[in-house]
Amino acid sequence: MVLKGGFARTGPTSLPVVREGLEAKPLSGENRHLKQMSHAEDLALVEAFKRGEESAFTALVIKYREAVYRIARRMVRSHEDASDVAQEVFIRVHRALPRFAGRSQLRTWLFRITVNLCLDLTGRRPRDVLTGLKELIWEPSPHDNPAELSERRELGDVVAGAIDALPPRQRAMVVLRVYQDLPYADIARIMGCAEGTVKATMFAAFAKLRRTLAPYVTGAPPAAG
Amino acid sequence: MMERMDCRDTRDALLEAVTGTTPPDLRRAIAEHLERCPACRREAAALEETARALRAEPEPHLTQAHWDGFMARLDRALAADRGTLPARLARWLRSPRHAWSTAAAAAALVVALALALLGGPPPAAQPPDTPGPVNGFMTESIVDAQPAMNASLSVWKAGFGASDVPYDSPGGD
Repeated sequence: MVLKGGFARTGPTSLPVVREGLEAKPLSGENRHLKQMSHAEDLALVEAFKRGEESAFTALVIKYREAVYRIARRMVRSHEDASDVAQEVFIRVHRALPRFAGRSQLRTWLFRITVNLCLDLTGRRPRDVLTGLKELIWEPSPHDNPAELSERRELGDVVAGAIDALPPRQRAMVVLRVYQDLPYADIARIMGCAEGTVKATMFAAFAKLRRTLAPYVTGAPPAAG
Repeated sequence: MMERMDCRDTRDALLEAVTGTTPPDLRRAIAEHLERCPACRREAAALEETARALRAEPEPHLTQAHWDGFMARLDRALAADRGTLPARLARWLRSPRHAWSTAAAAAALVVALALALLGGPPPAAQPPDTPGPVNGFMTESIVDAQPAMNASLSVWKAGFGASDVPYDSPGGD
């Protein structure tokens, strides 16, 4: 299978990085503003929880459960394990939230707990158990048509296999960057390493991914080395 | 405004630019370089194809029924967690409603322990005219100060609650 709608590589304006770079970027300021608002909202919910309002914790769970589950799902590849990890994340957060001082972003802290639990789980399990879990049980969206769904599942299998084949820390960084769109600085805080380490690890991970996915993307040459 | 990027800088920053949100000035600098460098443009295209393939994998989409079950399970787990003794104790100590009473109780406990450990058994009453080994060291000034020292001792031994003990009452009981 080859990705539909392959990239036209005839001119610079066909590349999103070029196109978006040349255009005005009103969204980036807006995004920053939204992130600040989200951070302020998180702090308000944490303070409310500290005052004894349990509903504030429920609001935090509802806000972050999907992101936590998705990170876990891409890290551990099994719905049951990912769901268990998400449960454990929120139980730990509930215990530790009264001591949360707000020096870091709540989201970063939550994702750090998530990644650490996933790394613990993958470290405890033999590799073949994880890679053997190919029962991708994506719940279909009501808007999907069967042909599209089948194609997405096929590509999903290939991509899932490529990500599975990465070492756990590389997998975590790719998941946080590509699927959660976190800046390198946040990924470094989550992974407990320097930003330069994130950059180097991402290069290594992408070199592997390019090789693995080369047959499935239009004309992408496999990276050497 | 960023400086003009060369091929090395561009390759260094490309991966960050194609995989997610990047500072606008960095993107602009990369874009300017790509406009004039076909080799970096090819590299950017290849990286973007890989990134796009990764993003083409569908996001796990869970139904509301799943999340309802998730919340119910979490509620049960938290309820069980709340029931444990350390969790209850921690919650009690954290509660602003109980903060003052907890602090007062803790202070009283510390004072009581200190008195128990440092106070020791009360000294046996000794008539002032009884000759003994101490009497050889009793100077006139010590003898003069003795009633006041006895009164202080009696207050100290009675604890903070004994505020009604007269300053000049005989101590040593």
